Amino acid sequence: MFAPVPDEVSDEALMAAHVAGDPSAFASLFRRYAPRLQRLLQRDLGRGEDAHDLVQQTFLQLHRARHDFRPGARLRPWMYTIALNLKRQHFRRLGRRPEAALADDDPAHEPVAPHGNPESPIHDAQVRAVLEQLPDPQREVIVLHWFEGLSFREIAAVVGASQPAVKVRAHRGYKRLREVLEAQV
Amino acid sequence: MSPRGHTDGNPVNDRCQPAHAALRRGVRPSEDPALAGHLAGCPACATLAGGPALVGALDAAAPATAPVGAWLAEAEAMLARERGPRAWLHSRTTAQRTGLAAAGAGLVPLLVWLAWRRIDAGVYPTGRLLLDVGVVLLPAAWLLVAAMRPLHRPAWPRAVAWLGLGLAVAGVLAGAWLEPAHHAHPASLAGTGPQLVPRALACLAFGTGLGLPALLWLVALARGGERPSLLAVVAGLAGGVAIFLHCPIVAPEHLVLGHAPVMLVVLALMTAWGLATGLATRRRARGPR
Repeated sequence: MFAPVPDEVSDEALMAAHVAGDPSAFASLFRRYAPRLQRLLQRDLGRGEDAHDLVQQTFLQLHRARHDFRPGARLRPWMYTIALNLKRQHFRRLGRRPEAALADDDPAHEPVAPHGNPESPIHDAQVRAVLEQLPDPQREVIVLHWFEGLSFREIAAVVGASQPAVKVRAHRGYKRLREVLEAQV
Repeated sequence: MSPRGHTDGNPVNDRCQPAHAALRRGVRPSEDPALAGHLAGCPACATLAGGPALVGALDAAAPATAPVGAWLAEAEAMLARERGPRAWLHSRTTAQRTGLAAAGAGLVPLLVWLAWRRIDAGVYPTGRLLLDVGVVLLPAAWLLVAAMRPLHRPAWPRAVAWLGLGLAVAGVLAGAWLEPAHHAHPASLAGTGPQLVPRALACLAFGTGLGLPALLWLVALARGGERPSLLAVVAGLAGGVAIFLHCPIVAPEHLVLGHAPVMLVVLALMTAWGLATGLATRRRARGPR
């Protein structure tokens, strides 16, 4: 019988408990990461069902690879690496990268008032369109850095590049976004 | 700005996170020395802070998400189905699975060598035999490691697999490019002229048959993230080595037509199986009309 897992327990402790057979540890990891992974995958996949499938597959793969997890390793890069690899496989099976779900006519996507210039709103669809136009390595780093809150060290582990390389990608990506937005404002 | 940002219970040094939190709150660098210090050393975050409404625009572009609470039961049911020998194989470490895969794929040629060894083995030069087998086994080992790379590691560039494939093709054709190893056994001189096609087809069928058990073993070990094409090539190479260790014919045209394509036939069978199962899955997903 396992005691309930408190929320402040680290990812790594939860993973160790899951490997030891604690079912509540998996539930805690799922509650902690499923929303983030869904957000991460939904951004590129467009279709909610595909994101749902890949989130489930991510946790299945995490479970299957549980004995690969070593003490001292960080779980968060693992989760994101699995999810992004599954996403790439999904696109490879489709034979293409689908168009982003840019719903210009979606009323949920309201214009954003910029801090410095409230008279010139930027539509969120425009931002997503610019994000879509970024090269994959830059977009991936920006998503992990800004939206998912990963450190550059973790991002480097996820994408398999050096820390300086991911910093350069982030800088170039943000710079490109900034240039486009400045042109639109 | 607090010295440590929101870490979701993960006490890590996410140096950019406190800066992001401050930027989201609309804090200006001039108001927060810690933020200013971070921006001075982090060009990426400095770019974020410098643009007109870039922070707000980025956050507004986040996709709408659905509640995932109901997904947990589904995930737990999926884990509950992870039982039996195959699930046990999946849960082995990557090093263990790779070792098991190599042992299983290598068992086929080994058994052939022990039970159905080529009848000219006594006159086949040992060095040449090791060379012929080695130039196939080395790229096979390369491809096996690439195929078994787990999903929690960043994917290797596709060039790694393509290079392994190129070496594998060169390896299986190497025996045909080189001079025949010997002409000292009558059985080795067969398989040419009118016998070329029937003997080559027999070897192709036998080699493919020998590669299929290796393929089944590799598929059983696959956790689901592996590239099936690489697994098929490795199994085909195992089948090709096995037929080489059995068939005494040394004629280059026989090797090209009967031994080298084993890899391609196993790959084609795997592709056809993948297409068929993919089609069936899509039909099931669509449901009855």
